[in-house]
Amino acid sequence: MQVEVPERLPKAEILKRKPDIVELPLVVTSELVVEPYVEDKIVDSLLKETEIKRSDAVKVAQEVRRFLLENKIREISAPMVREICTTFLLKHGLKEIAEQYRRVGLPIADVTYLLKEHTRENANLCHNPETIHKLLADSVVREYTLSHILPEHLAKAHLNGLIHIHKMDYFPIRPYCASADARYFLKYGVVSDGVGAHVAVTKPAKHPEVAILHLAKAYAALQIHHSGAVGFDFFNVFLAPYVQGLSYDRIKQLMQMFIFEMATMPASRGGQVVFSDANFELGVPNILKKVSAVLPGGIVEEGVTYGDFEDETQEIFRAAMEVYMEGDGTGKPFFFPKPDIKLRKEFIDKEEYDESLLLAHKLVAKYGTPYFLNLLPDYMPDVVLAQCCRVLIKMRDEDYEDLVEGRLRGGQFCNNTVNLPRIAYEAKGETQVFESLRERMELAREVTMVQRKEIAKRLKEGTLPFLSMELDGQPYYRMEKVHHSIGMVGLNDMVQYLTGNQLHESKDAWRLGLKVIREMSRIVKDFEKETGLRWVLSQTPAETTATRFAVIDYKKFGKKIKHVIKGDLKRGAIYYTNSTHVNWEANVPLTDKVEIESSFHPFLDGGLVCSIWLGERPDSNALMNFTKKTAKRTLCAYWSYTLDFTQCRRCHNLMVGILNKCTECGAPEKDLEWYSRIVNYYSRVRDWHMAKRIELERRFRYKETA
Amino acid sequence: MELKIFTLKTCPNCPQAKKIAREVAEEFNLKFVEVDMGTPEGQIEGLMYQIMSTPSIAIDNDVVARGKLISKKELMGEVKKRLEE
Repeated sequence: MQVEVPERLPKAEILKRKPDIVELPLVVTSELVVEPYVEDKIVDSLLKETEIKRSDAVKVAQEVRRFLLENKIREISAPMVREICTTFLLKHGLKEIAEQYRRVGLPIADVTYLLKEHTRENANLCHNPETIHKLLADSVVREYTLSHILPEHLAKAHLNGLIHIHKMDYFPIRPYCASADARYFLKYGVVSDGVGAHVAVTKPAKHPEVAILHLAKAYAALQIHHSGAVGFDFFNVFLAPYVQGLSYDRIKQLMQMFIFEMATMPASRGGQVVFSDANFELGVPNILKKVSAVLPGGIVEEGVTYGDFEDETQEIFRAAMEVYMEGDGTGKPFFFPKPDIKLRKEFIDKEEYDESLLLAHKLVAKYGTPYFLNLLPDYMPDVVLAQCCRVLIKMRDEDYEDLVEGRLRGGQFCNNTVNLPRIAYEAKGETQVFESLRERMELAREVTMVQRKEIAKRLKEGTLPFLSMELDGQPYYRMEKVHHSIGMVGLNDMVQYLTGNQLHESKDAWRLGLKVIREMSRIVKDFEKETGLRWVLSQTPAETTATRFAVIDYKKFGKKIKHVIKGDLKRGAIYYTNSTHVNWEANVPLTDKVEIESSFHPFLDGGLVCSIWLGERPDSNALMNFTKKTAKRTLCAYWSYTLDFTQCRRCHNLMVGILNKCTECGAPEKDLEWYSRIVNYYSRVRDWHMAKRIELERRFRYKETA
Repeated sequence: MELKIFTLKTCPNCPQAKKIAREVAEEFNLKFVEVDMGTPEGQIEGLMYQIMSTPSIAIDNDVVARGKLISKKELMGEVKKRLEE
């Protein structure tokens, strides 16, 4: 390859000044300047960047020089010189030094590919310049994390599929999910860069529009500091004081503004919209009734509490549901912000709230949009935030003051996943299953502790400015309060391998499944005692992990595990069953599916969902009855009802189901878009990877919920 | 038909619930099963019935009392209803 020589250092000039090195190549450095080859630079950099002995460094540098001369290389880039160096380091058995010295980056062909295509790792990505930059950076950070940050045994545990380290693209720079308290931004305004030096600093909002825009900016600022989702709890309650005295039409207009803002603002990496959740209440919950309200202007007045804003809270709820029900400009449902609706003892079966609950079910019947968070079971606390695919942030008793003071913030620091079927393949007998479980969870714990160190460094160095701000006298991000999660994939396939039956096929399989998850929950509690940190057990969304584990295991174990692998082996689109779920393909009566899945929920204190796939539009009254029954009679904590949709790009007709022809204008498949929930969020099916598309084809869909 | 009662040694209402359940089971000649939720197996059995609180009573797969004391009359009514079905 001919290297272009920048003007400020003409090649001829260098050759004239340095006749003694004429045989050695010119080097194009990373700053894109051309310099003569100087052997000492290699020695210096080796000594500076690695733990090499001087004598070895000199030896390697000499060999590189000899290699360049022998091969008559006249021009070369500095990165390539480094690669040659790495080769000689390896030749001399200096593997560790080579690892410290090597480059991380992408082959030219991969960059070319990324410019044209994009991966389908995450169905939320759009193809645009931001996405290309994101994917280029992701690959560098991922490689840096695997080769430089993680100890070798942890990197290998990930690469060999024993565990999965999620969000490795952001490992040293971002924690996972953010749970936020709107009152913080209503009281102090928004300093969107965290320091106020690069952006305008706002004062607390006095008007509802401004309050909404401030919250939208806070969502965005939190998103760029986190790799996962951003959720706001008690959204309509905390906003209620701002709409006092407004007409219902005005409130609806404000909700339209909020929902469109969140559903259109390209604020996240790759030009994605914020992966956002807004948790809605049917009314003001008892636990907030006596809590002082933050009023317009960020003021708190003695004696004014959220209990004074019951009507406004209910009106915002109704307005939001109606806006969701109208859909976007083309009649397509809103995918974000995800509305999570809480079911509470004080609201269920009360006439006053039934109308709003029915409205939410009309929305399900039209678009499938809402999620239901059930606080009725005794094991659920009064303050729980649902966000991301299935993360639940349960407030701990010792944080009650945060609820009163407006500091209900934190989130899930990370989630790392254990490959359960793999344990079953390798274990000899049940005792060994439980021993391996602890071993694998210990690996996830070690990964977490490494990441904590990295993030703590970033916070100290000021590279997570929004999280370091101290507007209320405390650091925004409190490392001692965030939750560290461990998740699992393939419980169903694990018990199938061990007992011969899937979770829904025998009570013994189900019982064994419960024993495994209970043990995981115990181990997590041990971690909590041993580290003094907050640990939780969560279902893993496993958008790609369920496939990655299955592919790695099938390569290793082949026929021996064929009967438990799900998907389409012929097309290479295989996967394990998601987390603790019942096999999504199985025709299991709906009540059985809900009961089996719910029985695991009390152990999964960091997150879960029960996904109910619907085959046709349900009757909203019948569905509401099913919701109430589920809330009152099961341990189910969180669920959603999913309808699949096809939309015609020509006439915008929206049809239920995955269809290949528009029922209105007859447009063919190429003019249609399909939408469904990939794991637990709606997205465009064309962006899904092959295994997920196969799974979509095979999902068992329910036609009756009555 | 089986009458299953879920109890805990520490639960104050459990002895009374157990007495009622046993009497009803005897009266209708039902199989009587007690599940101690304080044992690892009992905890799992409870979860499979969506039960985490005591006393709770199930007639076959139907939970008729969840974490509360049910009167003898009420329990007999639940049994009769099912026998008549």
